[in-house]
Amino acid sequence: MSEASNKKTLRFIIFILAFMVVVMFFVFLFVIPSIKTYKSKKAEYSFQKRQEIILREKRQELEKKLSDLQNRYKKTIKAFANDFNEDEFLTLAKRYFNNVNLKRMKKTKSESGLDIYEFSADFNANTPVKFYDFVENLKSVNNVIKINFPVILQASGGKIDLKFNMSVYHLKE
Amino acid sequence: MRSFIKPRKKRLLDRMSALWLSFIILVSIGLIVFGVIIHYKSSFYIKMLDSLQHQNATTSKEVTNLSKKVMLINSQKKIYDEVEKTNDVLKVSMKNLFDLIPDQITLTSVVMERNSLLLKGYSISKEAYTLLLQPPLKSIFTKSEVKFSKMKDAKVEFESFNTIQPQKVEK
Repeated sequence: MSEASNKKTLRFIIFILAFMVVVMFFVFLFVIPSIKTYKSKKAEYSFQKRQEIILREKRQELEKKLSDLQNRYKKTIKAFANDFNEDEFLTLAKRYFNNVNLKRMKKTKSESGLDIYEFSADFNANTPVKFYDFVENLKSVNNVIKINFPVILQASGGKIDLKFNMSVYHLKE
Repeated sequence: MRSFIKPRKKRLLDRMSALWLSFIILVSIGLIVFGVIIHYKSSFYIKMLDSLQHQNATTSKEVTNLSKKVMLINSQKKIYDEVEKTNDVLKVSMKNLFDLIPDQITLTSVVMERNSLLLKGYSISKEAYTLLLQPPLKSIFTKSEVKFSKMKDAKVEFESFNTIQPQKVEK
């Protein structure tokens, strides 16, 4: 082999090596990190996009459900939202009983969301029909009122003394 | 020595080296451009991600609020139904109780608890109570105890305590 040919081969090898070094340099320093960032951001974007669709569908579903519930249970929601009007309640009670009395009890921690009242009254009758009517008509009051046990009925002369505690529920947003 | 031809200008690089160098520079530029494009695309996704994450956080909050509202209405409905049921049970129990009381018996006191009933009153005789009031009470309550005491006017005073064993809830 001539000296010129050797020189050419050597130069060729040097250029090949130089080419490889340059390519490796750019690939490792520039291209691979960029592709890694790109891939991770793209994957994250796709995930968030899927989340967006899921959340949007869930929101739509809940909005529909809420609107349905609000329409269906209008009376119930209103009953919980209304403040308890003692005068209105006593007006109703006076239709059935005499000497009505309502006393608000102290609230304990476990009773948050509801107020406890002690109700006492008396009525003239041999049977407590008025009491049944009163309980039936509690539904017409714009509050959620539960009569608590015990219910005490005591005969006193020609009348019946009535005493019970009742819970008025407050469950607002 | 003397030459008859004009000397050619000596090139800095021969043709092959120039070709190689151009090739290397071109590939380098290509790689840089490729990297820049990818980087640009990444920053586009980063920007979009920011707004998307913000939007998702807002939607997520809305979903939580809506869920809370739905849960609140459901629990309101549950409580409302329970209250109505309890009041109705109380009304019916009271009505049933007074339907049970025969004319021979007069009640002076009723204490109605969820699982118990205390009755005080008087009867024309012990037998009247035993025959007319005790059987229905025994059929309703799991335990029925009564104490009698004589009154001045030949009537019998009674104190009846009745309980229902609360049903065990299976886990």
